[in-house]
Amino acid sequence: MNIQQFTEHDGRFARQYVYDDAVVVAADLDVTDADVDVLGDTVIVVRPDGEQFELSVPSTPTRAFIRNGILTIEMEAHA
Amino acid sequence: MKLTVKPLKQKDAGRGLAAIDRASMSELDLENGDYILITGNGEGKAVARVWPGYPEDQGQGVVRIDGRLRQEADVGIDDRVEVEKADVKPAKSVTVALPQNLRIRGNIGPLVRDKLSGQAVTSGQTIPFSLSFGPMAGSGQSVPLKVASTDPDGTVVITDSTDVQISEKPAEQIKGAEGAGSGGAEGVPNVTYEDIGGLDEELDQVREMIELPMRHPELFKQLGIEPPKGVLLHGPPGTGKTLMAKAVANEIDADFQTISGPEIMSKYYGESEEQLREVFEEAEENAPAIVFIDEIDSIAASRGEASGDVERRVVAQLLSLMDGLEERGQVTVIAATNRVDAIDPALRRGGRFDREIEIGVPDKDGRMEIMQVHTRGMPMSDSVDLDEYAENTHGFVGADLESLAREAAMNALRRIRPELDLEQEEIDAEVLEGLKVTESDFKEALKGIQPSAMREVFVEVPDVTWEDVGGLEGTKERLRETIQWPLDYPDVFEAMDLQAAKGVLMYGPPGTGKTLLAKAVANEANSNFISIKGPELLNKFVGESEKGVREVFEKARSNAPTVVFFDEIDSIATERGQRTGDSGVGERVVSQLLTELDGLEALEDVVVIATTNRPDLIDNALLRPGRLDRHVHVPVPDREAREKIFEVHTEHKPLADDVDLEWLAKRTEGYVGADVEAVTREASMAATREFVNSVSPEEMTDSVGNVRITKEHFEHALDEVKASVTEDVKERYDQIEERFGREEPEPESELSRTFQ
Repeated sequence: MNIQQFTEHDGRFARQYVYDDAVVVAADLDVTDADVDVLGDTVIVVRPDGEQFELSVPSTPTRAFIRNGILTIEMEAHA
Repeated sequence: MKLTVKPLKQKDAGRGLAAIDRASMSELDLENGDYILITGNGEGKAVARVWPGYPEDQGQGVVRIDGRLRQEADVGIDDRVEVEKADVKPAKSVTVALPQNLRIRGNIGPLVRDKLSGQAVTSGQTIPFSLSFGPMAGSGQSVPLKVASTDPDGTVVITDSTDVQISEKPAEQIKGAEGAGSGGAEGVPNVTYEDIGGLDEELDQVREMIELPMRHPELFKQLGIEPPKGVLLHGPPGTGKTLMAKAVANEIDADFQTISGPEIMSKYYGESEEQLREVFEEAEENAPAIVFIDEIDSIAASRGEASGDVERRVVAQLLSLMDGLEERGQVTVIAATNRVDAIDPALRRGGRFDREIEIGVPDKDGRMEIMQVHTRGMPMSDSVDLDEYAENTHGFVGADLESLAREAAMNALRRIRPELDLEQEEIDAEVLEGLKVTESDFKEALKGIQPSAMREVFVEVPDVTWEDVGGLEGTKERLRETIQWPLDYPDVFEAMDLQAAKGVLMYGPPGTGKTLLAKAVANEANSNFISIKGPELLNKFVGESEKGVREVFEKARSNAPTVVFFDEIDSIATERGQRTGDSGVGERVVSQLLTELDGLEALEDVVVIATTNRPDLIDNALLRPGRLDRHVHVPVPDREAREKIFEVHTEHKPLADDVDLEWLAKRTEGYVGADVEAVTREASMAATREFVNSVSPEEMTDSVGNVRITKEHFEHALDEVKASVTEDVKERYDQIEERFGREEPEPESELSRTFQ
């Protein structure tokens, strides 16, 4: 899934913001707890109940974390 | 740390999020998803989750929150609020109460938990909960849930492991802890700025006029000027005038009095005026206050034209109330009307209505925002692409889009209705959960809704595409250039400093496909389409015929982009100075048409297409550049074109193998498109006749699949249908074409030098 599909899927609430020095993707996932792993250009979110999904992003994230249901993926700004 | 409050974008509202710009975020040591406590100047406090700030806010010290949070925190836009990191405990259990009128069977606890998961709640708080729509939407799109109690106390966050209980008592009977979420004062409508889509600029103007003087009257004192007293909102029906007034009243927490015209009228002498005075007196007592006069044209019609004594006195009373000897204090008047010219001119001066703000028909982005507002609480399937609907709803106003969303939802409801047992008092929670609005629901809904400004002239856009037009390649290309390109590539036109053509005149012998081309344009151009049949504009009263023309263009302007189509334009645009029999009506209609096409008022994104068989009869002024500046000859088709036309008409017909379209095209010299169609129809009719006469009715359904249209049938048809264009006629049109200059593009001229 890329970000576009992800947003459209199930009416999920995700936004991408382009700043001068970074690109941030944020999504409200309606879960309180989940693990986030980064594998190259892919972000993998694993919920406690074992359900997981992958999200491919345009460039390798510098940071990805989930807190209180909000998933944040930070990337370098597009060249 | 103090931050400035700004509104969230419409689509981001309703999730308890606070978008904080990145600089402030790092200063506060916050991360996305952290809980923060927002404290206003007063008692209000609100808890929100941090969301990344909008790029345009970079370094501005801004926190963006939606209307609900603003209300909880008791702050308004541009206020400064204290923002700090909040320590929020996960809730063990939460008890929520549903409103009394909501009846659901089954345990909706898990449903509530899933939806609210991650949100921070406090006992006594009311949360808008988008359960569903349709019959249960007692108050708009969401159900107000009240948090009855929480464990532990204080602000807690609902997690996956929280136990959500539904209280036995309905929400109305629970007296929550006062403070957070107690809502606004009585009588203030519950609309926030986020509920208004596509009117950002207008909203800013209204706020500047109303909010500023109410919040900071000292600013005006310092400048030594009187703060503005009134705003007049005007625009077509359904564009959001009333909504805007409500939102302003809600957001600034002022007393809100409404006057609806007919209500204040009384049969007793002087009482109508007294009622007006009473409203203003009450507003003054509760200042700061807003007096909202909806449909002001009904009580403040121009005095010169008002028929009755009462009407005149009411207007006079209103005038003196708005700018009389007595000070009005902090009472601002907002009035809304869709007939701004019907209002007494004395009202439209400074000191009374200081500013008039036009609320127009929304553009594409505006429509997108409005759609987002109306589908915010709607469970939609993945396939729904709102962008697409924003794109092809030209001329829709907010009210139309709202009914589009509602109709789509009603369609979804219709789908599950068989599963509903209406006898039962309550509805199964599972059924509710499965309710989803799909793409086809929206498609169906769109068919049934016409833009309200277009109702009178609305035509069903015909289902004809460019492919249905055989041959005529050059003509099609020319039309596409004129009509589709300016809409599709506005940047290119701007870069080339190129004005889009205003109109196209298509001429040619009867039956060559002029009207068909126009239909294809209507379908493919993705614009609104107004079709005018010349003679229907004529009216027996003096001046009314011209008015008809004016109205057509007025409608076209307000619903742009629009294609206005005049079929057989020679009937209303004949050469002037020729006849005197009709006391000059025809000439005045032509003059009106001329000024509309190329007058002082610019015609933006409106294209006129006209067709005629007799271009030689049309007034010359109409044909000059700047008016119908493109003349396209739709010629009698040549052999190649005829073959293509045959292809189009025989596409779905069962042809025998011996039928050769090339041979048909060769045999039909001088036939136009309509003749070709007649030939194919006659041939298939002959085949049908043969079949029906030879087969018994019982076997018909079985053997109908074997019927073929053969060469003999076509030969028979060719005998029946003769060419409608003779050599003479053809020659005459060629001469006319000569006169207009060669407008038909040369087939495949060599690449121009532009690219060298």
